[in-house]
Amino acid sequence: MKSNLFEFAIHSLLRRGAKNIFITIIFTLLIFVLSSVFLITGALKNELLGTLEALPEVIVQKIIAGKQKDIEVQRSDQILQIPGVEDAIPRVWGYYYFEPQGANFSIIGIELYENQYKQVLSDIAVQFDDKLSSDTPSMIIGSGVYEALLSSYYEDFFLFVKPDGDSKKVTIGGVFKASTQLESSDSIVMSSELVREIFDLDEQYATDIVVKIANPKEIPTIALKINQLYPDTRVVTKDDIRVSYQNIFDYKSGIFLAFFILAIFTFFIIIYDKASGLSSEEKKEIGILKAIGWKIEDILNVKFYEALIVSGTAFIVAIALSIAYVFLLEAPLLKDIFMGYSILKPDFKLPFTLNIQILALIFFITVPIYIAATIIPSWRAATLEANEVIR
Amino acid sequence: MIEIKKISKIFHQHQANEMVALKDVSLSIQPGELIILKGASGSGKSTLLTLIAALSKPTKGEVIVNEKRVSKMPDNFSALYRREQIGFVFQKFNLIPSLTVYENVITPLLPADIDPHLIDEKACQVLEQFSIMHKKNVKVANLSGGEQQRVAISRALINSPAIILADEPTANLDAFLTENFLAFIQQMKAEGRTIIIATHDPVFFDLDFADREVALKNGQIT
Amino acid sequence: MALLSPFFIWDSMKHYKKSRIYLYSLLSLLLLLGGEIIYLKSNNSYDSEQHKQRLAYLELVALPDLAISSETRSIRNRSLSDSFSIFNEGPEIRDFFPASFVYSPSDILKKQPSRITIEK
Repeated sequence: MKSNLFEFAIHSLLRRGAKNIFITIIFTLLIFVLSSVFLITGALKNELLGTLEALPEVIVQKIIAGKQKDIEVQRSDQILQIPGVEDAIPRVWGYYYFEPQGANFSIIGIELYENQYKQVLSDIAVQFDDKLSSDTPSMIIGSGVYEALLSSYYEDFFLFVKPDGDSKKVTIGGVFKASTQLESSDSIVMSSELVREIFDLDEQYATDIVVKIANPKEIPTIALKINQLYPDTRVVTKDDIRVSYQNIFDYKSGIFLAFFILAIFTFFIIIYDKASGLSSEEKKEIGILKAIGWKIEDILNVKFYEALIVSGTAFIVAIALSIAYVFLLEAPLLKDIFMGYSILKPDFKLPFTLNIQILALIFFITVPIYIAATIIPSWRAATLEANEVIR
Repeated sequence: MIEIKKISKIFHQHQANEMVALKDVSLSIQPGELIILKGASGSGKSTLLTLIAALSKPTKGEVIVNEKRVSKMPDNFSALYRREQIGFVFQKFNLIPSLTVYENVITPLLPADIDPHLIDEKACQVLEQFSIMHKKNVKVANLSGGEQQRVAISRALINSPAIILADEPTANLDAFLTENFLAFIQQMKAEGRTIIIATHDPVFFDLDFADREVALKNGQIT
Repeated sequence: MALLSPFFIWDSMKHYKKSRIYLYSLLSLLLLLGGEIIYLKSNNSYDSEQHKQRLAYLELVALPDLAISSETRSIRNRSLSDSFSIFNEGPEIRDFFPASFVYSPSDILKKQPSRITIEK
């Protein structure tokens, strides 16, 4: 690095201080918004992919005319016959609309009375007391549900309204721990019997069938067999879910398109201003420098340092700010876009993830372009005959 | 040794506003000579100086300085040539207005990556020599014409060039400063530098320490 | 060798006042960024205990997707949703803003039956 020229470059930036500070601020803001969006989406994706291992290998749904319909429970017996299938469990779950808050609770039924679940539940939920007995209908709820019920003055129980108009009182047996919030916030777990009662679901039918397969390599074969066995079903494998997780954010549309268009537009205004040529004052200065013995490369060196200082500083400041914004301040304002109007919002503490590739991408689409936009007009001016410029 | 061989310079060639600044000018200048270029404005004196400094290229002919064809040099080499061998005092000074006196004066030395101590030394020396040291930190835009002239001269000399070119150097100087300038030229001559001054100030005519006077009229030597 | 001595470097740096200030500021900024990252890595990342609890919950419930956007059923369990829930109010209207603006419908919808079958 040519120290003399670097010092000259900083001095040159300060001479046009107001304009350069303005550009730096806009640049910083731009990169800040872009990287914040990418940090949030990256963290959400990481969260999703990190929990994939706990999901079942295959979920079988019945789809008629593009709509999901309840599936016959006896199909699980047939599926169990397929070699390689460890277990096929019919499952009931659905959404219950809670009118006072305008929220949808997800209600999932499990066989509460099996011992294996008792241990698990005590690990993942804060239980009020041992209310999970067969006499009192009880449920374990997510923290969002708990808050929603509390605000409607339901402290210990809730009255579900069944399809026939009758109500069903269910005690709150516990609340899922904070660590599970992102997954459990809007959920209610209760016994399958209770779920069937609340939704008035026929005993012969289930919402879907969860299939456990011991050997992951056999999943595609078994999925195919299930499909051949029951052509009206959709077989969702863990791999399908992984793919759907990877595509959860469509960057080419929606809110991202709005962001990116805005960012690109602002960015190109800056670039256009730079690339459309130098002011006559700047051109004259370059001419003078050439006349007193500066080579073109010396002049371009100075311009390069100038551009690097502005864009490099903006980049580093923006990244530091966006990391603090997303992971320390929990992204106020931006968070609402990703969480929507859901009042059952889980506590947004996303785990810290830094995707170097995304940062590199943002770097390469901003900094080099700005540097080029600065150097090119200077190069054009510097290649003119010195005499032309200073006369 | 400066050799000017049948130089012609035509501006805006083949266009409506075509102008012939120099026509078939030939001149030979020995090292250490002091040449006074006389002529009215528009006679081509400034153009000749710019060609010697390789600030532009001739339309025809060539300029050879110390056996190097400066008229045919690529841009980077001509810049280096100017940096190392030429000290040019421009008619319009061509100082950078937003820089201070000190900063303007040291600008020719910056690309060479010279030690800043040395730069400082040279700058102070030359600023003292031209009595402008006291305005070292003043922005050039805030100086008078005469003061700017002195800054321009200081800048031209900071590199101790072998060839000094001056275009109307006394245009903005009063009698006192003109005397100073002449004394300085005499000193430079004594140091063996080649000096070419383009001027129509009569104070330069019939100077006893000048070697030659060359008169230009309408782009040709008379 | 004298040229490399710290004293000489410091002495010559005295002349590069602005460069010095800028480089020190940049260095502080980078240190700040580094410190931020280190702090977050140690405090904010999931500890294994919490991770285990999440996995245990998911094994129990066996439903994919996060509990964000629970006002839209098509997004809540997006990996399992069907076309009807996306165009709930009519074939020309997608569900809710901003949920359907941020999250796109699952790929799975486009592939019926399962894409594994198609690949075969």
